[in-house]
Amino acid sequence: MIDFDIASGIYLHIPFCQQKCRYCDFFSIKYDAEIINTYVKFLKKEIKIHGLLINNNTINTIYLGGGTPSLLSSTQISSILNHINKYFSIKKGAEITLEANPISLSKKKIRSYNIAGINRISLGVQSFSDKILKFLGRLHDASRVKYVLEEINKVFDNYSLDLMFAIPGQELSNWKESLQNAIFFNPTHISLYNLEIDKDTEIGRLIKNGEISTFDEDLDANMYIEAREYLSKNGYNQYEISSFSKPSFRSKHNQIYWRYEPFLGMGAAAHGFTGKKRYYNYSNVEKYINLLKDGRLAVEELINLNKEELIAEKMIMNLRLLEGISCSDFIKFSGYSLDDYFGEKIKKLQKNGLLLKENNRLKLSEKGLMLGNQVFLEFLAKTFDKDL
Amino acid sequence: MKQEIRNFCIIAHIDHGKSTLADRLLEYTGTLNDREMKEQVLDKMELERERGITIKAQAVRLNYNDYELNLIDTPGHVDFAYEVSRSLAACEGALLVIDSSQGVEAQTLANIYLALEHDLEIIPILNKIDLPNAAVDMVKEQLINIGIDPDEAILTSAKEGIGIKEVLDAIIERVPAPEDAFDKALRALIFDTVYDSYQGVIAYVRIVDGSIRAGENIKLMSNGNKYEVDEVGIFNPDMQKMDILRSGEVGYIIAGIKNVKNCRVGDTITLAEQAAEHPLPGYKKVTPMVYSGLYPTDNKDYALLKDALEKLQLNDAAFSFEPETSEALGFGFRCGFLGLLHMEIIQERLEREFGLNLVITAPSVVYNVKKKDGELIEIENPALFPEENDIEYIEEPYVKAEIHVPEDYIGQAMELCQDNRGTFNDMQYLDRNRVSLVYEMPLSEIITDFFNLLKSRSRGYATLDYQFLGYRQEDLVKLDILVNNEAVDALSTIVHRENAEENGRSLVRRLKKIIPRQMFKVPVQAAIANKIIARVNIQAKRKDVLQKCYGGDITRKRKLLEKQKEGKRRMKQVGSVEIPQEAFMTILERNDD
Repeated sequence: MIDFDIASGIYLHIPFCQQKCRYCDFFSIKYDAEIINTYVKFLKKEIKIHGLLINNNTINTIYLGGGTPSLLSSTQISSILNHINKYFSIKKGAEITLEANPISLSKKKIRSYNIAGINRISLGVQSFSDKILKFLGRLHDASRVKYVLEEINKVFDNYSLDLMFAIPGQELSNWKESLQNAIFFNPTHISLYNLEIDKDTEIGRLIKNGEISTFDEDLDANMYIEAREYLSKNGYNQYEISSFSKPSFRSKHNQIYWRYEPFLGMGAAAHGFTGKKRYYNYSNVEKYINLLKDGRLAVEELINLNKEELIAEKMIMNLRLLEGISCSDFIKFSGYSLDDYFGEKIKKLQKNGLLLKENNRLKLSEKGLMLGNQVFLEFLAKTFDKDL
Repeated sequence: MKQEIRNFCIIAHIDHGKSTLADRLLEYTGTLNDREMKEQVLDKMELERERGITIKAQAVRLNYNDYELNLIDTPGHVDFAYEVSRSLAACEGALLVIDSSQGVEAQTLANIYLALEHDLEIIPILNKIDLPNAAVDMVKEQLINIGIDPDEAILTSAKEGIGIKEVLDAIIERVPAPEDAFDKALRALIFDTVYDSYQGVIAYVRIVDGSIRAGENIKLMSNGNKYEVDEVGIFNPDMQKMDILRSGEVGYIIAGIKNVKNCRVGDTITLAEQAAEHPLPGYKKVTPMVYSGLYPTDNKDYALLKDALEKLQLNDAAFSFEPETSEALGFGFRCGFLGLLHMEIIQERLEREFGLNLVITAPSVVYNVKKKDGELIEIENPALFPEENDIEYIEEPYVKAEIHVPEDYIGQAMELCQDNRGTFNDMQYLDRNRVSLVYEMPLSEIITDFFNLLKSRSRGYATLDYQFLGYRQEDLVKLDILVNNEAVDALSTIVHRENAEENGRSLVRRLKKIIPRQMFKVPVQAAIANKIIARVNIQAKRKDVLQKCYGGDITRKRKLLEKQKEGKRRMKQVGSVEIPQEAFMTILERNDD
């Protein structure tokens, strides 16, 4: 049993792509109109099952992620949203985000998504440089991005764009240009992330074979610093390691993750969290469909987290937010004070200049923002280590 | 009626097809049926099969046309030269296998010399004639140059099963029968030993004189230890119990011997009463040539490591270990090996068969140090070198290195030898375009990555063999490495004074590449007698943070963090710096920058 008490956010995974990007190792399969049709049908069935299991739940945020959710038609989207509203209740003013790929958006589609109920777009721009886009294996070029952003601007007053840095071959000047281009369109939200090289991707293999070299750590750091300064100067407040927004335009949905609050994940390969347990669905679309056909949920693994693990994950997620973790919230969550539970570790990290305590909150320092993993590693639960 | 016996071994350069030929001989003579047959059937260790090498000697009896043929499969590597020499001493003939697409190699030649020393009848076999680039005439020309009659060569393709009958017939016709010495006092040559936890030591023997049965009392002639024989038998190819082993035969003896150290390769077994007067010639106790420190990455695994070393030693009298302590690495063992391959094998088995996570220090030779106070000490760990002021002189082991290389690469090979303190000794043409170079070199230079460099500079064509020459006085100094201003004893090496600065500079540069950035700036310095000769800085870590969390997938983030933590655990904490295991071996790789 998944046992949700309450979940105010819903994540829906749409695992279809026209083409796999060269850096991506997330689960997705090749786009096929017929399969998507069937998929949507059973996604709705999953929504129904969860809806019946959880009574009277009000939904504040919905996030359609992927894959490439913008491969769905507006009709499909509106039928999914209607279904959610039928078995849950979508709160008025709820944030409903669609992750979109510039190549799959058109003027018409953008308008019809809005009419279908989407009120926030998260656009996977990645870069405004054709050279970099090509290297990443994206299907769009910079002029396509600009065209799509103009159209989004006409329809949506809340949208985010993703930019990527620390890409092999990228220079600081090129990164600054991408930032300038992004600001020009005046989005409400910007997410930045450095390219994480996974060995199972095409780029990972190029690096392993020595065909391209790993990215210079100093340049990576400088790009991040540059972006933080530049965005702050232009009215974007950083509220999480990778997230920047205009005042009152933080991503409500993503904050659920970082605040370590429950959310319902649906669709093949989707993850969810009940507040005590985490689960994820099968990453196999056929299996996902077949299980739902039988009226069963497609959960591959349900992980009961023990208290130590819950505490560790809460620390790691909360500390990603610039506001950090509230000491009183920690007591409410765990029954311990932060100092009783992590005293020595916190002291050491404070001494190393990675953590700060301010206004009864513990948070990453400027240095800690750059070296977050060094902090998170300290809080990893012992039980996570198999052989300790 | 007693069968006629032929005892022979197969000698070859690595990869020339020794094990495949052995497979075919077993198959052809019906020693194994199809079901039992697999590739490299005599190489029983997983490591042997994987690497395509023979580490342990094996024996097997083949029955062919009323003859009893005893095949002794020997290791081919120079590290095991002594074991090989004992295996050869157990035979009257040798099949010399040469890959006809490669020709005579350094090891081929070393093996021929060894075979000739033991008066073996050599049957040259040109193998792999099925290959399109087989050059039979070229190899025959090489045979002439090394004094072997090319008309005697048998052409085979072990892979295709060509020429196998001819090989068997040649063994019967050309290899002399062993001398019949049944009436003499027992003398059995031990050419290998294996430890079995139930039966104790199983000695692989060639009965030279006399005979042996279960129940008789025997004596080992090197140490006088006496035992009662539990069982004798032959290899068929599994052990098969027999009533008696007679002169000329090859088989095994089990006599409740508890430790391979008491039953060493090369020793002679005789009867306790009616003992032979003299042992067979050639026995020597082999001593390790190369030493390195083995430390558990996690200090908690010390006892496990000790246990594993003891288990490996049960089967390997040539391998030694002593506890030692390093300031940097904690408690570990100084282990002695016959050579680099032997070292690699032991290390790999420790990690594979015992699941240990090890830090291995760079190998060192044994130095003789004469101190000013007259004391003479042997040093196998550079960290323990006396202060320079206290040293009168230092001696290091030298070897005669024989390198075979195509004419086009003579220049590169010679340059490499000279860079590694080699002294030119001799050069000869093996055929029109292959040359043998002989250099006298310090062993310490050979146990760096000399062989790898030789291979890469000759596009893989060069081969190497070496023999111990003796100790020579040299102007050597200890090169220390300081990490974050603290000397790391496990990174100390002994180098020639003339090369010290260059080595120091190159080593700190390489360490900079291997030691990851830490939370603070870390200077890495090289020093001789407390004088800093080279320095680099490893800048502080600046960025290390996981990015966006897709679709709330915390599992993925957590796995990445766990992997990072595991990586940290595999490093050795030295002072406040985390040093990866490979760093301790980088001392080996000299010239890659």
